[in-house]
Amino acid sequence: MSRSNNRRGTMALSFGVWLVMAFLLLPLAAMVPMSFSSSALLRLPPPGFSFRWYEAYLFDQRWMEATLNSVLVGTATAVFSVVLGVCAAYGLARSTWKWKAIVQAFVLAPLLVPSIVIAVGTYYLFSFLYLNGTYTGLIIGHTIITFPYTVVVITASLERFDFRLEQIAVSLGATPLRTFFAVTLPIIRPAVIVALLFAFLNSFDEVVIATFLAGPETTTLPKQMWDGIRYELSPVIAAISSILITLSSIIILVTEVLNRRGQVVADGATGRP
Amino acid sequence: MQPYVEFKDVCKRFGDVHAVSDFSLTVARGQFVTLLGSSGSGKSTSLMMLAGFLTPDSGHIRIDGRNVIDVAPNRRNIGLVYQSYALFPHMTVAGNVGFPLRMRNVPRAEIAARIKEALRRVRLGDFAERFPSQLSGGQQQRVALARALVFSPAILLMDEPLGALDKNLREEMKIEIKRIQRAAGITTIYVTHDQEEAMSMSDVVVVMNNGRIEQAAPPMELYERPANAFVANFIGSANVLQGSMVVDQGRDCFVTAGGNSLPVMEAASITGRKKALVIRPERIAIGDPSAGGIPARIESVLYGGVMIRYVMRAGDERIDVLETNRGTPPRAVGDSVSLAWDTKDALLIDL
Repeated sequence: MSRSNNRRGTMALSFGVWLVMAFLLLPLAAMVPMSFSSSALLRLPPPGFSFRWYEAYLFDQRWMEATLNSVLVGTATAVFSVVLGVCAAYGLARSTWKWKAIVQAFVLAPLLVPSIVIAVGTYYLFSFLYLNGTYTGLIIGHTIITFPYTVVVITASLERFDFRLEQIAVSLGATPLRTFFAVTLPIIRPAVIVALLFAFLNSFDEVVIATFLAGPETTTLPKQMWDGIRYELSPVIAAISSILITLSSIIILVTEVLNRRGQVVADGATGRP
Repeated sequence: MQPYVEFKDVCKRFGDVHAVSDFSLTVARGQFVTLLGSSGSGKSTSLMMLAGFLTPDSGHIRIDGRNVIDVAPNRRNIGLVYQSYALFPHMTVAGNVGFPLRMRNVPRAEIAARIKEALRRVRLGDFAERFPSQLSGGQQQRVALARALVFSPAILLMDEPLGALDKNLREEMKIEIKRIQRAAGITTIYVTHDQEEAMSMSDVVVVMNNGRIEQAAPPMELYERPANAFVANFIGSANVLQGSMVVDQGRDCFVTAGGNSLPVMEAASITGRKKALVIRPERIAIGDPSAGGIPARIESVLYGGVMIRYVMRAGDERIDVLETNRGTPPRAVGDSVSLAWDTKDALLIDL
């Protein structure tokens, strides 16, 4: 095999990678110019520049209520699923029970079940519990979806965690609860923050469950957008999409930074050179 | 004298494995006791039971006369040092050392003073604001030691604390640990598989094997009067010759399985019993064949710098001899020699 052959291979590979990235990113990139369009039609390239669609979004009560609902539901979902996720991941990591694998499979099941199935099932159950159309119902529905993500993220960080640190802390006089809050939680904190952001983002752009469980009062932003596309296709959607893309990018950037920091802390923990 | 730490008939099993069996040991206040054994000998299990992380299946563990089996590990007031240092990576050195004091709700001003004092004691006064990842292995272990001592625990437990350090640092830390332990006057139980570490630091060494105590004695007694062949071989090296006592021409003699008749000091009362004779390689003198000792032939010579090790063959027996290197050329393979020793150096043990 010659060197030039090798180099041609590398070039072909990088071309392929760029092609895939373009395929993934172009639809997103297309939204941004359209959001600044002066036209009422979704057109590319936009005929002129204006902020009118951002104004239309920010000064419309329906959009603002939906956004507020999404923030509210997303925040509550993130908190609940992370509290549950930390408990579940910690329990699974410490457990030596022989049926642990089955519990693990149950916890992760919502990742594999299509969300439409979860949505329909939850809808039926909640119609008995009068939870359809309520914030509580929507938050529970979203937590079902986001909980396994938080378990996965926190389990990964607990795998790097040296449980002898807890033993030491206890021997130094800490109660098990204090050990958890003074030693374990601070060390896995980057993962907890990542899980919070992930759960929030997941809930924030979730549409299937919201379609079933959200009522007129509790409509979330993605559901409002979905309805908007069906009834009146306007560049407001593009404006909102651009805001969401920016928000997601920031969150992913933050999680990436935190992940890297978590690695450093965990590597320092073992004390081995 | 009342023992400070007492294990009484302690047993611990993991499934079918008897990790510790009939473990009985007493430690006096201020003593430095080492549990010595290879991995799987039960030494760490014993330590973890004393720390409270494992519960014995049977038996008692007492600290200062009080049964501690039902006392939670965070209430046992024991300082613990691990091989892996186990410093809290998200806290500074001062944060680590102050941790046990914060858990005891000691006033803040007193905590600061005691951190300073503890760090001074391990000679790390200038490192209070560093993070563990910014310290060397030896420094981290000294922080771990300071953290384990700062709350004046009743007992200090160390599980292979020098295992992760390289050889030179280990030598230095041995002296350091011994100095700090003596200054604090703290009852210490130390676990290691390194016999030299055990011998040079401890007041009492407990040799463990398969979850049982083979012998518990001060280092010198352990070396000079091993209780059995396992201890004789585990501590230093030894020639263990099997045979039995006979009376030969009115003298007590030990006749080995290989047919050599060796002089010993023991009384004739044990005549006829199966025994083994233990003789340390460095206590054997090599003489010319005419010198009248036990005739032997040199099978191999291992030149080790300070010492020269000869593997000898006397009849059917292999006898190792260590000779201090005095600068004269070593003897050659195949040479005939005679071996002799002081009868006080030949110890009879039961098999």
